[in-house]
Amino acid sequence: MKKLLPILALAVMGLVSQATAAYPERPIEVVVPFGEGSASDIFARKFSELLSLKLGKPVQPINKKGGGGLIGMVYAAQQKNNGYTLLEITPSHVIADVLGTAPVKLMRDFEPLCRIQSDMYILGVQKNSKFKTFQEMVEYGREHEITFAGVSPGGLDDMTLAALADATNMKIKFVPYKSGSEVKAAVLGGEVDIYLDKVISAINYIKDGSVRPMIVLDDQRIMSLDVFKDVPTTVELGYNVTIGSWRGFVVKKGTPKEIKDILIAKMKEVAESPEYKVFAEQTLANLSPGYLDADGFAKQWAKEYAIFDPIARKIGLKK
Amino acid sequence: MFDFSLMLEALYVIFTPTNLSFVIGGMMIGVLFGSLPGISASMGIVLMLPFTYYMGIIPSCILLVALYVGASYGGSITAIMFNTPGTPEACARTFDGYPMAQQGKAGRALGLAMSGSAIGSIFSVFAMLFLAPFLSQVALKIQSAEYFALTILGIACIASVGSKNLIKAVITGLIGIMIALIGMDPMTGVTRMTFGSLSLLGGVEFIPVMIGAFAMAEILKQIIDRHETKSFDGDTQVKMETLTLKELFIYKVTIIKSAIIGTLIGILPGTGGSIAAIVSYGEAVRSAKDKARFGKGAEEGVLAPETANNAAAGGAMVPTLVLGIPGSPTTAIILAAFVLQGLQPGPQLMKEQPLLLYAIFFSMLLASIVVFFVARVAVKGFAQVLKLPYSVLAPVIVMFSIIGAFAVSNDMGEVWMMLGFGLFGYFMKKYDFSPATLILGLVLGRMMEENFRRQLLLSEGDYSEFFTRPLTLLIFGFTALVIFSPMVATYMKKRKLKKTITIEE
Amino acid sequence: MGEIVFHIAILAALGFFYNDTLSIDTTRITDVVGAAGFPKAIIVLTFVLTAISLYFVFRKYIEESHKNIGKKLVIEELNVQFLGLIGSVVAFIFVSEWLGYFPTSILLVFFIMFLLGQRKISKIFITSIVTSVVFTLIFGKLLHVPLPRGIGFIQELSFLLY
Repeated sequence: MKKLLPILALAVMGLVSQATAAYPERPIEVVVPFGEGSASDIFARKFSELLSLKLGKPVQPINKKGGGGLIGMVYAAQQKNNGYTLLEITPSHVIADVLGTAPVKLMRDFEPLCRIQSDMYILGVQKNSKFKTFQEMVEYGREHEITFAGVSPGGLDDMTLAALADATNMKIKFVPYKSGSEVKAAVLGGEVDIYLDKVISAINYIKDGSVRPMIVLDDQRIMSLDVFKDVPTTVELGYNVTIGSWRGFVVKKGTPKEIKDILIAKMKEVAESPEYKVFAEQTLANLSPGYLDADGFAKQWAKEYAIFDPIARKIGLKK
Repeated sequence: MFDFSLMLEALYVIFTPTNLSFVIGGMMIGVLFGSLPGISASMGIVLMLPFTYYMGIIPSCILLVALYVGASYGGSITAIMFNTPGTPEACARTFDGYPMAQQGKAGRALGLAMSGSAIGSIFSVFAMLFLAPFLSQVALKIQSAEYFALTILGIACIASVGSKNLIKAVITGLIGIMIALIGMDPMTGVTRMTFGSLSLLGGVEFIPVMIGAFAMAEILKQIIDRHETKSFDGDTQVKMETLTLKELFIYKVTIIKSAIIGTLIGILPGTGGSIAAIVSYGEAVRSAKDKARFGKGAEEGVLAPETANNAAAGGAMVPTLVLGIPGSPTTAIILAAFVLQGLQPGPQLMKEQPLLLYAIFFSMLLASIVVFFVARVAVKGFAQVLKLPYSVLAPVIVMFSIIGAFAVSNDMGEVWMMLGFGLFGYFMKKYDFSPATLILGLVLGRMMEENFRRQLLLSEGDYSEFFTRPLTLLIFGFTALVIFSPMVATYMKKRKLKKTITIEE
Repeated sequence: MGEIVFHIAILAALGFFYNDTLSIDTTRITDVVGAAGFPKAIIVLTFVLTAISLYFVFRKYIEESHKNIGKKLVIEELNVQFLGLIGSVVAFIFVSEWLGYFPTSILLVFFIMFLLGQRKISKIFITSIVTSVVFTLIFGKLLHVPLPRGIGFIQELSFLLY
């Protein structure tokens, strides 16, 4: 036993000294602030898998769900800023900054690496809906209240449509559901009038004719998919509301610059790799340019903060 | 919809050696995942996703649905043997399954559970194959008012679960509802009753509460019970009673009823197996002549929720495949897996991939049949574990409880929650309160409030919607039956007794 | 007596929760019930029922009190094994942050087995190590559950196992 002890001590010291060598020396954790199997989780898992091939060390996604992405963000803020904990973020985190619900702030406590995906929103109605065009809907909506189905009150759906209603002077009533699939069921069953959807989950219903797309919340039409060619955008109708969802990665503030540079370079490589492109095509995440560098990403947060802040005050979420 | 040549083709596809091994392998992995508390079927499927990237569409789909079927069986193993329900669906199984195991009839309870699940599952896949388009259209007619009525039906089952002391059963049921309301308000998103704790923002996780109130509380109770006698070694009796097919036949009515209830409730998006299991348990109690047996190891009490739960698993596939609207969180992930295969979920899926429905049907059917026969042998092995002395069993159950609570959201806070509810559950049991109704309230509370308020939001605060929609009325009528039929029955009995007495006089 | 205390504890907790519902933010107007309506109604109803139940329990206690005269009040939960088990789980939560999941779980199984009267040291050793290895490998390695790794060199060592 006495002989064994120094050997053990040496082994331990060896391990510890190794830890200070070139990054990355051990597995990296990616905090996914949503549950297993959600769209954000599936993206993070695929991306981590590809990233670990480039970095040569396992990149392990861990799920910290709850509180609309807040729990994961708080957890990531509690870890060391040594580059071994990354956090996946979505617009929910910018909204959390606006609402001030968490003691941790995205824009204060984290630094951007890059944005990988950007999605646009489509406003849809059920096939038997009384609205044929968006203009018709706006005119109706100025007189009567339109019911709108979405997930997470105070979240992206809520804010986005409130912004659109604000720009068009429509009266809308937000009817929250627990999940996207319940929203879909409510729309198809005719319980509510309109809803917001992502391209990937709407396209088959549009092809089938059970959902009619009214408008794309963007400045450019989706030309790569036939069914969307004739769907107008908000910008061309004169409403400057171009909110969509996106996914990207951040690290805790104070992470060494060399480590950040390595991560950014490798992430860019992954985003441009053919394997990732296949994945993006399957999930229709390639309709608008996804990759955005750290500076652009930070600017986008600031821009969206400026949009969401007055909306939140208006609908009574922020005093 | 039904196409015989496609069916034959699917049969041919399934029975290739690779695909067959996917079905069996997927089923076995599913049973393993399902039996580990805290590890859900959803997590199992997510962990398998990387392997399916490189398979074809059909093989990956049959692997995942077989895993899905397997997971809904696995949950009963730990629930019955250790009283550690690993999913909300499993809570109803502990009501009678664990008492049976305590009486040394774990083998028989597991046998009942496995047979019931297999039959429920087989029933629902046939419903899926033949009635899918029709059923999914019906599912869309179910809206907030009907969902609210359904949760009331579930809550009404408190009357049958907590018959020992009704007022205390209702108290714990209400406490369960209150706990379910902690977190973000479903309608406005404001925080409620979190006491400033951030980890409560997402609401209280069900699994740690369930593991605490059942498994941990039971260990504490055993320790007190055994403390006097100091008997922590080798006194657990295990009788190797199993189940013959003939015995199963006695319960044919219970099984068929539960399979129908399970399939129908499973089809509804946003319900899942827990309500199906609770409602069919309630129905089994309602229709039984001798209600006092329930909660003490009644065999129907194991069969009914188990059959319904697995029927719901099959039922949930109906809207998933036909409408692209998943019937449960797990099927939502199966749908996500389809997307990774380049399929677009939605009403066109079955037109674009006609073979898929049949392949999925056979995969689920085959997995269920295999479970039915293999399980009868395997449960004997599982039940042997209970022969271990309690001083070995207890630390293993504690380990299961800790890791089961932790794995739910990878957070030590959940272990605190588990421990807290362990103590609460212990005292509940000691003073004749009912941990079962606590879980009932917990599982149904959020859904009840959300649908009630959503309906009021849609109807501008008009309550009449709850009493004018025919489907809602139908469910409410059934609820009244569940609540009042035991009372009417006892009243009739008393009157009959009086009559005979007066005649005799 | 214990039952009365349990009832009062429930009532106190309900009061605590009710107090918190008063501070629920109801600025945003949606449905007629509102964010605070449902919790308040449930808590009040539970409170009333618990009070009724307490009344019954109290009456029973008074009726039976003459039987208990002369008996010493015994709290059966105050024994080494009951408290030891709870204590060991609490200790597990704290210690695993430092030592990591694997070493702590060996200690936990070891301790609980000893607590429950197992005295064959070899049996305890083998069981605690085997259980911990199996749990760590299944949950940590196979299922990728991010088990606590501890701090310092223990963290480095844990990467070798899971």
